[in-house]
Amino acid sequence: MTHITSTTPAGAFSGGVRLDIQHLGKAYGQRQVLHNTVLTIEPGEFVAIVGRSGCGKSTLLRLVAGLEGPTQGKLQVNGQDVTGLRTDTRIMFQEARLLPWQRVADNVALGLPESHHDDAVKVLAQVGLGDRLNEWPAKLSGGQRQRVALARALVHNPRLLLLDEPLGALDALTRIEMHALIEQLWRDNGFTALLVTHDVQEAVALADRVILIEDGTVALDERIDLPRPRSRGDAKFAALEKRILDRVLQHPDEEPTPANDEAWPGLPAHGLRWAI
Amino acid sequence: MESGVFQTTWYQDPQESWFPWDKLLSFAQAVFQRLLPWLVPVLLVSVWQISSVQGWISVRVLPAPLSVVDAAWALAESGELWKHVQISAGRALLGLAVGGGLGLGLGLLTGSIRWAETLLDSTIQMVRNIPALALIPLVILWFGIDETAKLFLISVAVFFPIYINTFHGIRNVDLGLIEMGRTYGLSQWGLYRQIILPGALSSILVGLRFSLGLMWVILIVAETISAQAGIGYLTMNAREFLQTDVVLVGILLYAILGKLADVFAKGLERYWLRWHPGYQ
Repeated sequence: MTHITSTTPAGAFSGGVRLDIQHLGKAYGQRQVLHNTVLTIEPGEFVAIVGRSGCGKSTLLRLVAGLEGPTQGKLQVNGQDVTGLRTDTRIMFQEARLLPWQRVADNVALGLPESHHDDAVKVLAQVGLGDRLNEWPAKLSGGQRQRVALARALVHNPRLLLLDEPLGALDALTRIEMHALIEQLWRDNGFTALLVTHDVQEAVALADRVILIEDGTVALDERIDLPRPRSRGDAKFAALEKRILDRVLQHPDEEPTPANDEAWPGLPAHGLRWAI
Repeated sequence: MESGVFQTTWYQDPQESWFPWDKLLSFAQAVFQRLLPWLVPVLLVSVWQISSVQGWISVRVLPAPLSVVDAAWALAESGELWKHVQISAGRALLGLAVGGGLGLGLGLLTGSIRWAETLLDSTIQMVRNIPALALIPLVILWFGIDETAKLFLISVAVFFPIYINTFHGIRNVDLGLIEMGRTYGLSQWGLYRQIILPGALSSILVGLRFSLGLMWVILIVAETISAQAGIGYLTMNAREFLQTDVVLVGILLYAILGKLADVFAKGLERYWLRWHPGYQ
């Protein structure tokens, strides 16, 4: 990557982590959501995971995040087993999940030590919200809220950024803008990125590799060798998108178990926790 | 554009534009809008005053508004009014502090910690079904008719709204926000202070407003039953001497105190929930 890092947020170039997913499985009671998933992601790689709703892609992300533990197999980050939440991993959720009672700058500074609060301001400027520091989240548009969420993730200099359909609720134009922003920040910071999405075009636009998860396991691993920044009108882009989309659609839809992905399995107990 | 003092447009006569007629007009409109809600009360009081003066209403039944004002003035001048208001407000606030404090504390406890809910909640829910006023005979047996009895009744009454709303406020905090807080490295205390408590605050304030309403009701009942001082004593005493005007002063005092408490609670909401679009 020869891109000049003009806008590196707070701190040094941290680099990405290597992610090893070894024969991973996850079951909720009788229901096996993921099984025998094998995947290796190189440091600094941008990988997109696509699949129909209920295929287990969000579960995979939650396992990688350490929000839940696997029932079979294991996960390694830089050779270390993932046993819980990691400080070098940050997640962007589908909803921005901003604290409505904290102003934008305080939301970004969440969990930062007092001495690093200036970083929040810098990162907000990078995502184009330098003039909204003092705003309540309720006053922002959906796209702006996701920008704040992105800033909040990046201010910690993550080495692994997990994106759980973060743009799913945005309109098409805002989404294209956000693609450019995410790609730019990824190139500047060099973190490893794992994006879960149902939008094949988004996956092809952003990722080095597109992984298709079907029936709880990896069904396709497609390398995207298009030069960046990618243009959606490009013939090769369109051909790749069509091929992956056709492959996704080949598989009949899952049996109608509503909200497989969204099922709330309850928070895992990492020691003492509040009752909610 | 802002400083277009010397600019005139085709529809403005430069001769007239030195005086802001349009501003005056909109000011008058705003004043009218402000005064309009007062029209009906003013009319009612006027009718009342005229009826009293004309002798259509017996002074024993309902004294004229002006004589109520006179009575209030006389009581204020003698200092008696302030003494009674002070004692009543003191009782109410002390009861609120004790009952509300306990409700908040226990609500936070059972809302936040599962075993505390299992241990305490069903007991509290059982006791909740007893109306506070039904306890009056028992309370008189226990504490006699002195201050403790009134404090006890008020505390019991204000406890439950705050308890229940605190409990539900905490349970209704968005789980997504809590998960987010954990992934962003907040400690247990950080989660509680930055996410759970602020998330429950609007519900806690609703409980507070319910409690404030109940607080005055119970205070009035308790003071009417027996008291050696306070607004209830003032009115009951006046009743024995057929001073209907003083009775009305007492009733108005309760109304004013209730309104003040509500304004205070609303102010708290407006400040603490200023992030909420519903309170802006």
